[in-house]
Amino acid sequence: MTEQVLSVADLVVEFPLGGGQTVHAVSGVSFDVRDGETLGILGESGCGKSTVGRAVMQLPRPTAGSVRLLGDELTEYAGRRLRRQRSPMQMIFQDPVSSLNPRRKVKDLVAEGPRMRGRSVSDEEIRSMLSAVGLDPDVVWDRRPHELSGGQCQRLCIARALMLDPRMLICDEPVSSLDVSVQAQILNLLEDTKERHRLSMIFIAHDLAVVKNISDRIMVMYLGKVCEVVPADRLAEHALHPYSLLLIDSVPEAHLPDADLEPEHAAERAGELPSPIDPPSGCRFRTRCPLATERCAVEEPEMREAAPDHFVACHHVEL
Amino acid sequence: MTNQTATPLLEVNDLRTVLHTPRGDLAAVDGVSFRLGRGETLGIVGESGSGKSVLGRTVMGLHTTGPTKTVTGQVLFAGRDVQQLDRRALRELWGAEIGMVFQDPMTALNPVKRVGVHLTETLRKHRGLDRKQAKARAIELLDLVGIPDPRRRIDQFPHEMSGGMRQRVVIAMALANEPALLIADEPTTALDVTVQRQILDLLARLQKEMGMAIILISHNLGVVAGRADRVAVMYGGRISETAPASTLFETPQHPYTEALLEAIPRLEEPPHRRLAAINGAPPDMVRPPEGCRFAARCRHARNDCDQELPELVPAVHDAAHHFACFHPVNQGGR
Repeated sequence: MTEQVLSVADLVVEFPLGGGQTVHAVSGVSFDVRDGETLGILGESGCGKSTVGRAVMQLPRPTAGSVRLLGDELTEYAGRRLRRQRSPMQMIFQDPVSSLNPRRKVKDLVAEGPRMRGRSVSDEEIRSMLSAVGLDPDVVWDRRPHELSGGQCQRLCIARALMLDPRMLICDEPVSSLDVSVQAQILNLLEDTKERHRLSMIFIAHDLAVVKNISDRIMVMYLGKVCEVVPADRLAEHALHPYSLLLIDSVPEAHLPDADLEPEHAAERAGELPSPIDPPSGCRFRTRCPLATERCAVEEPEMREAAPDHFVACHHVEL
Repeated sequence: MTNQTATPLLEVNDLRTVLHTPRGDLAAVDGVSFRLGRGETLGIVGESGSGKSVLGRTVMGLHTTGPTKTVTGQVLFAGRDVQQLDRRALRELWGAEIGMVFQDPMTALNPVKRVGVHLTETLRKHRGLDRKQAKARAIELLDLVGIPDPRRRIDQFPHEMSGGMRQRVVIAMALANEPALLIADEPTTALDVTVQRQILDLLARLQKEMGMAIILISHNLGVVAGRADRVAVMYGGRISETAPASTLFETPQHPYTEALLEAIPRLEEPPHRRLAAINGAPPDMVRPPEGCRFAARCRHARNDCDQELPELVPAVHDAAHHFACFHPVNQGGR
């Protein structure tokens, strides 16, 4: 049995809207991240994938549920204690430029984390970290974030995270704002970094091929719930949940135009994402699901094991 | 597919769009030529800064010579030179003959106008319909682009709709007057994959029904792959390679196209495959290199690549396949 770095159980995140209404952003999500593993979280906008990442970091603290990092229950801590306990976990965001203080220089940005925790950092240490993420210290040393490209800023964010010696990185859409050629550089860097520092990773993204490339297991989310957890190498051919299949079918790769597409069919697929304020009863995907029956409206599907490490929440998938 | 008859719908000859920036003149589009037949789809792919959006806007006549930029070359739309048209003639052209769809539907819609007004405005102006006729046609159009319950939707404001629905409204606006050419600049980039698929399917269906030509501009090779008859890859303000879509993806000749294809993670490949990243960054277009713009990042570059700018020339065995490279990668098969 592999050691679990992170263990999340029944995570719920709700945001009050006023007028007695509530946004059900995440509704009972459980998962583990094993030592050295990359867990991909896949889903479209509004599915709660970023909220899960933030709730794990206690940003903000989840409404309910448990988040155990290396055996420590993070939801019990606050303030300075929380900051210390969660420091083995570092986060990387989608927009690298806006997540950096525009007035600080690269050399200070890299050392910021340890210095805030009262540790002094030598120039030598900063230089070697910059080199490790593929930035030339002599070139970027005195630059500010706006003088760097998007890819360079993302490298800088990775360097900042690594300065704190993390056990785990949470990457929230780290490559979505980058060009294809730079995206490949950053994905390779994350993969190398993970190996060199023996990290575990949560990789949150909406791009199926990107998530598959970097993950060991993939958790597919829809409207605040987990539909399926599938080993990455099984995603393309053995995914089972109707929503996973819809996602795979939508990937624009060598699709020939659907000339015979019936207008009714198009309208059916147009089925819109229901509101997280008033999510559908039972299975949340049922309003867009081709397999949906009455049972789906009444009874919420349980996670069932389809194969080792492969779980799916659907009444109609045959196992 | 490609029908290169006597007068193509659109003919672009040696187009240059030079932006005058504080740092100096920036040739965003630097010598681009292509033709587009009626009913044909041209995909234009490139990374940020490649000049693909500026090209689309110059073709439309949104960029013309003025204090901040200089446009040279020719854009012939159905025989008329778009760059020579005055403001009034351009307004007649836009909406009526050339439709456009941009990346962010929210900025294309007026937040304080109801959805219906966006459509009836153009119908009344260009088609001379009265209020009642225009409304009926607007409802038809919303139905055409797959918006459920159009009678109710027509009175809604843009913020009451989802991103996918808004983009459908923008498409309905662009198509209201059945233009001969639709320019779609990153039409699905702001949308989720399942919605993206719906919008691309919708464009394909409407194109078939209306017989319009489409210029589909995207950074995503996958989006363009199955949708375009012909694809042009742009780098540093120039077309580096253009060919029928299947040819381009199966036997790319330009090292940049090849490198792009290798840099993309693919769903059918096993996890943890190392991606072939393209090192370095695109050239500074204020001071572009003298030789090939891609030479500095190219795996196949040799000495002569820095000397001279390669021209876009047809391949020896395939007149439909053009590329600008002295040392192409797939010559004579692999």
